[in-house]
Amino acid sequence: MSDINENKSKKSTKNPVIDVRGVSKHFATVSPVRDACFQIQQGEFVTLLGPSGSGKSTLLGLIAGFEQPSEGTISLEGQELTDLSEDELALLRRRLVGFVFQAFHLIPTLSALENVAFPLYPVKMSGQERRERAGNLLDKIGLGNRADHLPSRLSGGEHQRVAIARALVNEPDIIFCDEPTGNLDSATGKEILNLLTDLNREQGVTIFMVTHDQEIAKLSDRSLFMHDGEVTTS
Amino acid sequence: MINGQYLISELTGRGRRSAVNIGLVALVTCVLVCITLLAGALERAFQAPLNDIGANMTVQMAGDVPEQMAGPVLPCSVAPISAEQSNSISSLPGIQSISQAVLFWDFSDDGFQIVVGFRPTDRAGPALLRGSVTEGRMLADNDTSMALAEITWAEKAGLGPGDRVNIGGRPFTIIGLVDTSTISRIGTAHLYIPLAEAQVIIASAPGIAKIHTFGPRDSNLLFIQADRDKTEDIAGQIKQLLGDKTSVSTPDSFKQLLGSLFTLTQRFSGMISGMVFLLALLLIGRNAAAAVRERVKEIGTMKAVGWTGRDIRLQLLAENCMYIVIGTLLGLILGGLAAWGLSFVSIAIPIPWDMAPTPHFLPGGEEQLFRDVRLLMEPGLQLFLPAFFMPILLGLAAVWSASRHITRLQTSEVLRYE
Repeated sequence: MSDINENKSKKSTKNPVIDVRGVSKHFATVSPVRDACFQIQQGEFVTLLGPSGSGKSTLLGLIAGFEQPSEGTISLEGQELTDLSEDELALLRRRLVGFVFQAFHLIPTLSALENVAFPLYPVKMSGQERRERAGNLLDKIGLGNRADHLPSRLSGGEHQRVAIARALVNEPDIIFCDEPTGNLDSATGKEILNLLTDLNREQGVTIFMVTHDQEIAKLSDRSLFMHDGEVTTS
Repeated sequence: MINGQYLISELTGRGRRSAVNIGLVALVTCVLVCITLLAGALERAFQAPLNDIGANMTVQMAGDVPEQMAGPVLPCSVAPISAEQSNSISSLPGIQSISQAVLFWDFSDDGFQIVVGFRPTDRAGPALLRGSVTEGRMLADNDTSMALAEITWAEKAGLGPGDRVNIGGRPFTIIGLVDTSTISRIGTAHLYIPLAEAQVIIASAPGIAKIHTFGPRDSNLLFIQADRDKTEDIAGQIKQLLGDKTSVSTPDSFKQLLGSLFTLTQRFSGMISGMVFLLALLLIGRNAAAAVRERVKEIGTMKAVGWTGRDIRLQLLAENCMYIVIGTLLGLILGGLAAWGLSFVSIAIPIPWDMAPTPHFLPGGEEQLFRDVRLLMEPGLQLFLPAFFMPILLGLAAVWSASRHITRLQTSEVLRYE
């Protein structure tokens, strides 16, 4: 993946790439996130731990700009999300962010190669360049020989590897992962984690991962804990 | 920016949904094509009996029944139309020309014959027989004491060109034979003579004088050419002018006589098309909404990986356009094939007895006459407008429906659908 993130330095502590200040989210009588405050530096691998229903996914959605907080501010690389429209948030994600979901969310009608290239479809770019970039990533994650396969013909681990390649295709600074090994067996889960930690160490990609697995947390630089909507540091 | 690869993958990868969408558009297009073509073909079919004789309408008046079937009589119960009445009709707006004719029965000791007097130079009516002369020649304007004979009748009677016949006690020489089987049955006769001579015969016939006043310039059958879109209005004005006993035949008269499913189809084609369109609109709108619901995760993923709302809408619009284009083409082909099949169907249009009267007491006199007309389909602009624009409307409605759902969809849904 030498063509990706070549300009990104290894772990730096100069400016936070993710800056969460006093963020709360209220839904009627429920507040899944309450006064969250933390910063993540470029190149860090941070896990967000917590039991089911503690508000992890809601917080991840807020940081990724999927929805707006009720209170507080969130900045990605200095860009405050509350200032942006829905489309501007989508463009920011296209430029800065890669996403790995627990349920993979591959497009069932597209091949592995096309799924990897999917975030580039709305980008003005030749089809050949798009295919080359996606093909290189598939080779890198060991799925070059499965490029033409539809998701229905891929295993769970292959699904997630394709999803990781898709998260990388736009050369993001940050990768958000929501329980990326949640639907995988332990051996495949380890493979996926190795892939992500390699990305973080070798390419300097910032990783913010939601998980409830303490073992995964041990692989990260540091962990945040969430309980009843409140975030605490380790 | 629309991605062609994704477009084709969606079309082929979601075969059932694509087939339903394409099928609905094709069905609507096909039904619209069929109904539009059928309505046009029926409209032309109803005009055919009158078109055959170069007219849009015919006028007759009802009168008293002859006291005795002897010598020349007007068919029961046809009354004269005076020259003044004809002139009044010709001054109505929308009337282009009027052709007078005198239709009468001529009884003699030897038998019976149906005779029509007409002006050979007219633009409508029996003057159109000039194209049906099989032997001899057509009557000319200055011919006197000369007649045309209908070929079947002449063969039965053993007559041909050069033979003489008596009409109303006067001698006439047959100068030609005409085949009326290829034209309308309206105003057909055994013998055709110049109008002026027919008028003289009828004006001096004692049997007619007892019940009618028939002047030397009068007639009892008018063939009228009028503005096609005003025929029903003009028919109403003629009835107003000549009174309740007037019988005006227009293409609508034939529709009423037919009174079948065809008539209903023709009359309600717009309503049927509208209902089909509305039904398809509902189904396609519902289908589009279902497609969005089915792709909630996919649309959430699109947004999550950086597709803007515009990108998503454009892609869905392109998908729907593809369904519309393929569905419309398929519908046009299917509709064209169905119309081609229908064009082999003929409908029998009944001809009112008083337009081709034969005495009831003679063999065949009570038989209903029909004119068989093939339903010829003529594709035109009136077909292509609905066939193209209605599917486009359907597609836009589908996209509108889908867009509403997409707008409501939060990107965070993608995290909640685990």
